[in-house]
Amino acid sequence: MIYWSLMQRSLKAQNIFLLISSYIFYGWWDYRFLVLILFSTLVDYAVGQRLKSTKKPQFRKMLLWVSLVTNLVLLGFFKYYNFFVESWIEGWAQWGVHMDSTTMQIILPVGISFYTFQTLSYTIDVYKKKIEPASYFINFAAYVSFFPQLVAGPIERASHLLPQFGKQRSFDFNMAKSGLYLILWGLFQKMVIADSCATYVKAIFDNYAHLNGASLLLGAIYFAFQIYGDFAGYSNIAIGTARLFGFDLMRNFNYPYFSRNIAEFWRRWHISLSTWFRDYVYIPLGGSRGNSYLKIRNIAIIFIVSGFWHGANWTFLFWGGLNALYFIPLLIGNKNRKYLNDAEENRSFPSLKEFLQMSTTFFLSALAWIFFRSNSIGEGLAYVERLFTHFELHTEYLNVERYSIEMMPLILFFIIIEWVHRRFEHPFIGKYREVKVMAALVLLMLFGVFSDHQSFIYFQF
Amino acid sequence: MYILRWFLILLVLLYVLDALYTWVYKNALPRTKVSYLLSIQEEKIDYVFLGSSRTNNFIDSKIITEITGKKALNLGIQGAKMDDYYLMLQLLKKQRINTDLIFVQIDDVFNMRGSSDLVKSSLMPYIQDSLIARYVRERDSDFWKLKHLPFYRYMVYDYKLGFREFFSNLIQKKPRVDLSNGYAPKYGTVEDLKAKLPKQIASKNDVVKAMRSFAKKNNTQLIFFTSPYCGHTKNLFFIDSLQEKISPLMNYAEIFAHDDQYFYNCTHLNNKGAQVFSKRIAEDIVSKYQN
Repeated sequence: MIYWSLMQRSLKAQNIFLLISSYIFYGWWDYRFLVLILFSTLVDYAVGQRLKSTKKPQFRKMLLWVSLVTNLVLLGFFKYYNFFVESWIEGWAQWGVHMDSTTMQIILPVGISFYTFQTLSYTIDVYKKKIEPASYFINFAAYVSFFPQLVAGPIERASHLLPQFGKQRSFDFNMAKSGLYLILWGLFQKMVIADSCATYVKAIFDNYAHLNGASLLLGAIYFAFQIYGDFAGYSNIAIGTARLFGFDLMRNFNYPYFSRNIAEFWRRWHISLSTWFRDYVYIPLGGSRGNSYLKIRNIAIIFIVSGFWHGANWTFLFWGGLNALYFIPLLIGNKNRKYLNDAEENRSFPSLKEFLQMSTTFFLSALAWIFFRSNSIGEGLAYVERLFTHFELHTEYLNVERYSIEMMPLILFFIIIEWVHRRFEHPFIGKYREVKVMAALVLLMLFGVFSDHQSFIYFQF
Repeated sequence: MYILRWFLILLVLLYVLDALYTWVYKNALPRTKVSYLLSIQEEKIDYVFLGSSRTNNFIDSKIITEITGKKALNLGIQGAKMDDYYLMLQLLKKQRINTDLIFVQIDDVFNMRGSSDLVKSSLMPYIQDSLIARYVRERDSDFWKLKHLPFYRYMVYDYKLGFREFFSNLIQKKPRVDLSNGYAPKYGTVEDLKAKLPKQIASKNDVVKAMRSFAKKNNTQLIFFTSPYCGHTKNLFFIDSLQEKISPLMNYAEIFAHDDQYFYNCTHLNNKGAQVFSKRIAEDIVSKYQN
């Protein structure tokens, strides 16, 4: 209201308002880390300005390195320091060399992986002369810290978001309305699907050693929907909130569980990160050019780095490696670019072949998610082993006073809603739009988890 | 106008859902001990047991009735504290339940204040009741919102009062525990029997005092008792200190100190232990209070 009523005519005031709001938002969690985000912003802004004023290739390259090293050192220190120290000590301990295992208690600044990648994309694009450097510091600082997507993305490119801070914005009712629809859909995904699944997931993963294969399979399915509902839900809330302020953010999820192979899955899951890695790591490495060895190497690097980006734990690396293993056969068989359209664009139901392809892809990704959720690779392997060796087709009563199967009707309902609306960004379309909104509100109140709400999973990254 | 319209729609939806949930919870087959107690009136129940899970999982009312020949009811609730016992005591009076003796389980709860979420959640459908409203107001800073914001109470306690429980009430699904008995058995024994009582006992407990005074005023007799602990419990001397403060106290803390087979974990009996314990306490009731 303040933004649109008092600052309607002044772009500068709007941007200052957004910057201050974003800093308050971030500082609310831990004000000390505002210094970090401000430092990154200052460095990258200064680098951008210098890149504009100099034409010397060596100096330009040096400036790029200054930005890369500064950002990656900060990211590496806060996110990976403890991991490397602990792994180093554990590695030596295997050879009988025992070292002092005290590490610094480093707090991971929320959203550091997201805003670091966002600022890096700016410097790299300016260096490559794909975009002009930001003219105003306020605009650039607001771009880096834009609160709707600051802590968990979507990771915006400077070429898409930064120019929006330089354009006059006036209130657009339809844009705001679509933003509200996205927020509602995001809340549904988060509070009804993800948080409900979380109860079962915790009960199953914490007691996997005592449960049968059917329950473990359900645990893997629930986690797949938990992480999807959680992250896609957050992304939709972020995109919707940005629209309320007149900004358009990129789409981050495009119904990934309707993918027909893993390559398609990765074009639909966490799109802002996948395309970031594609543009700033994969293509500079050579992409799909070169011989088979180089192609496989590049894909392996991308997935392992992507796993490592998620967190300082071997489980994430394993998860990334597993996805690389799924992907490589498609690459070798030249099938990685096969499905660029939506599944069954013109029919209501998928063909049997498509259904089997989608089920297989989902099963493979759910299998990989087990490692993402587990505390260690060993635990993940034990979970998978038990899933196959103790498979009994009956539901079990969990320690949260629920049967393991109970969540499935809600999951199936969610799948149907998503399938029917898979060509749109949310289900609130068509002539029954208002009825759907009302139904979503009722479902949110009836099935939403309000008491035991979970933090967004991706906040930890 | 658009926002206002949706705000009004939302408000109406909340009022409708609140009314629907409240009606169902109040009129369905009771599924909690609170709703069971509020569903009975002017009944004669000779012996009532108040407590936490250390009563809920310990006293089989059927055995008490068989041995004493008197009607008994276990109103122990998992996680309940002294404040909750006091509320149950007041509700017994409010419902005009005629009792001979009320047994109150006491142990390290003597050191605790506050109330359990489980009890509070089961009170929510009845929050308009003055006694319950006063109880919640004194213990929950959210009281105003719980009482006046439509559907808020059901959202906050969705884990216990959410759609799943609402649906179970709607279809009149029977609870897992027979509420007219109130005993909820536990089975088996965990591997590592360990527990620890506090070293220090609180100087006083105002709720005990309030309960005694309430009982005296209403001509009700309260008997305090301590349920068994396993022999691996640390600081069992806490119960000796308790005995100095609560007198008389039926102290069963160490009766199964050498019988690990009777325990589910160190602080809870399993079904086998509960059967033996119920028999023991029933025999003591006969010898101490029926002659």
